[in-house]
Amino acid sequence: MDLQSLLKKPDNFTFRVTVFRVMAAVTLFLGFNYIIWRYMFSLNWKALWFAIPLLAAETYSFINTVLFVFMLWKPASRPYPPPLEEASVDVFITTYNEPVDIVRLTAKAALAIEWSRLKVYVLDDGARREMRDMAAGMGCGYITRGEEWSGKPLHAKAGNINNALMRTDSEFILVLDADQIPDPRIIRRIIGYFREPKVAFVQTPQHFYNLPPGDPFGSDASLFYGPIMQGKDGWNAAFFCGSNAVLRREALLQIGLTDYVREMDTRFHKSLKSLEHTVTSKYVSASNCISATVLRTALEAAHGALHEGKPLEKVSDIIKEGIELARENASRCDMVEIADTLRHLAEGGDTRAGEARRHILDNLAELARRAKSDIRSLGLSKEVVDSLDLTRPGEAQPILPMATISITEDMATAMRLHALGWHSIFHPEILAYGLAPEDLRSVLGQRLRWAQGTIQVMLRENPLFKKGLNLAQRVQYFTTMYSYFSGFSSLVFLLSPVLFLLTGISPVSAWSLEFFLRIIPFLVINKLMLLYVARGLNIRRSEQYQLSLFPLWIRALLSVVLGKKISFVVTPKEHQSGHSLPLVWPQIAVSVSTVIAMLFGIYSLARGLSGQLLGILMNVFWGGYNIAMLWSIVRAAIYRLPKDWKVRPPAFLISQD
Amino acid sequence: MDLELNVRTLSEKKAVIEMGGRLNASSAQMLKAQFDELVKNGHVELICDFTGVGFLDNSGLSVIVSGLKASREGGGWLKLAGLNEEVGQIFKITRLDRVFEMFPNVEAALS
Repeated sequence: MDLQSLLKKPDNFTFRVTVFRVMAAVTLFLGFNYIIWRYMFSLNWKALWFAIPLLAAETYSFINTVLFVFMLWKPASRPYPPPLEEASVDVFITTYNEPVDIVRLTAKAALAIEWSRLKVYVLDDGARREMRDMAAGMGCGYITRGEEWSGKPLHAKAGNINNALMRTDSEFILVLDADQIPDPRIIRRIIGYFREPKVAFVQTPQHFYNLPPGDPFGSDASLFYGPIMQGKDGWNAAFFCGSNAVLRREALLQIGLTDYVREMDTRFHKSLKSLEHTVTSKYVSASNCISATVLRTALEAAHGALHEGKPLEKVSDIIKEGIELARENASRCDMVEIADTLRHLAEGGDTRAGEARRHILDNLAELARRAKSDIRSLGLSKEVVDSLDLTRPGEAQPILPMATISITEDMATAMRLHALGWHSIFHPEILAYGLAPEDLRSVLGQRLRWAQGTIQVMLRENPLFKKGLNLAQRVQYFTTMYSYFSGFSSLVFLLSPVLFLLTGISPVSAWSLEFFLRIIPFLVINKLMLLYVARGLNIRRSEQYQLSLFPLWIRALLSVVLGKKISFVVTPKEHQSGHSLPLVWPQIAVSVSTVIAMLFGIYSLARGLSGQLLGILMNVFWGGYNIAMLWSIVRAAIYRLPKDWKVRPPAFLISQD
Repeated sequence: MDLELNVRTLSEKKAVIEMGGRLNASSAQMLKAQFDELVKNGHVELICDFTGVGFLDNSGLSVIVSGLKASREGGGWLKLAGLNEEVGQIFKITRLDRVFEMFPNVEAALS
């Protein structure tokens, strides 16, 4: 079954949900039964260094199963709404370095969208002349960064959209990646959801029309853009996925404004504290003491104003005036000191020094005003003083609707919208067709960015603690983040059979019948449940990639946790040449080790060197399974596109020619 | 046209922007252009007179914040005057009343 067929609501929807829940309940019961038994009775106490990591990996996986079941427990199902005819829509086609021809195809399809109040814009972060010409030639708007962005953080795609939001005016925005060709019906099919005033965005699936036979790179995300998103939607936690979605401008601007006020408030109070600390602890010289008194008076006035509920702008002005006065005072003190030195010289007979002294003393106020002391001489930092400005001086725009805390701006933005009480919808119909990366290097780069971005969001705005989200939404966001921690458990699952077969050391107390009677039913029902949910979709590739990409998941986690610089890399939409085999050396190393271990295990069994028949047989089977999973990515590294294979754009696009 | 704008220049630095109508997504760009023009010409001490504004949304608020940034970065300020209860409420909901100085009318803002 393909995704489009899968997304059609089955006639027996309620029945299917009930069957899923029964299977899920049995899975959880058997899983719980197994994991408790593992904890209570099966640990090999003689090899805890091995037993504990395996048990931790199994626990991680079981929790993953629990979260998966919760996610799919009540999938959304709603009728398609009639269109909201009067709505105005801006189409944003985001691009950075994609070829003009790819963007032209998307722009052409966007202009053919069946909607009267529609404007199409090419958002070119590459500021390319040929892109500008193409947009003008096709009748699209062209937006690139203005002068205000010079020397300021650009925030990649999020910044590109934020820039355009401040230059356009329609009520709704359809965001499309450069390669995502929209179906002409896309607005008509989904705009009606916005009749409900709390709906902030509607996400449609991402579907790729250039997948090679067998999808060697695992790009087909049908499981995510099918059952998983429908499940999240059921909990009002459908994600915004960066493209093929329509968003309400008002909702986006609200999170931008809320974030602005929150940040200004935090920064302002932080600066106030820092100023107080400076005034009370850093002043030592006599001149600074006077400045400190001036500053202290200003800070007291500021506190009084805050207490009276005066706005931050007013309070900011009070402090700034205080700082200016303090600078003037410090300068005046310096001048007096200079005059004093000149007096000594004059008393020694230097008449010019005497004249200079008189000039200084006669014009003291004016000179102090004109040559104020530097703020640093008052012990204040520029950063602290800038924070009083309420203007986000480090940013090009004060309002940043698309979250800029992560390289996966889409997830962070959706979470902020949900936290403010907005609703989201997943519309289960393919309405845009895009290009998946065509080589392993690009695929790995894309997955690494997703993983790093998701973990960034978790560390910076953890959904478990974010104010405004309900419990189910917290769990939905956490489930996605949690799945990116699988690298370590995958490594344990891959190395366990190798260790056992080579050393004979077992992570369990015994490979007993009891062990098999508990684990096999759990694994079987778990698999059946997954197949039932997938309804005929080929999910094998995504299972293979989830395990095989263990080095990438580990790298992503470590890079974020260790605070390495992470940048947004645009996924190439065209085949990149070059050898990919070196990219998968960890998977090759694990595969080779597993083969050696399997041969050794069989050899020791045949020669009667080991008495653990069941253990060796199971671990040989386990190792074989691991190799089959890892082979998918090794195969992808050496994959070459068939010579007679051609990309087939969607039929509606061809029919427009 | 949703929004009507009238600029009164009071001095080299000071100007009042009198607004009337609806400050929403479709009219916000007009106000933004007006801010840019004023700040470019050295008018960085600005008073936005909301007396005639009957409707304001988040797009309008965003442009007001952009105006604040432009005027502050030019060494000036931006004050708001004459907000009716409904419009004032929008500032309260978004907590922007924590940021801006608001006055009952332009005269109060000037004093």
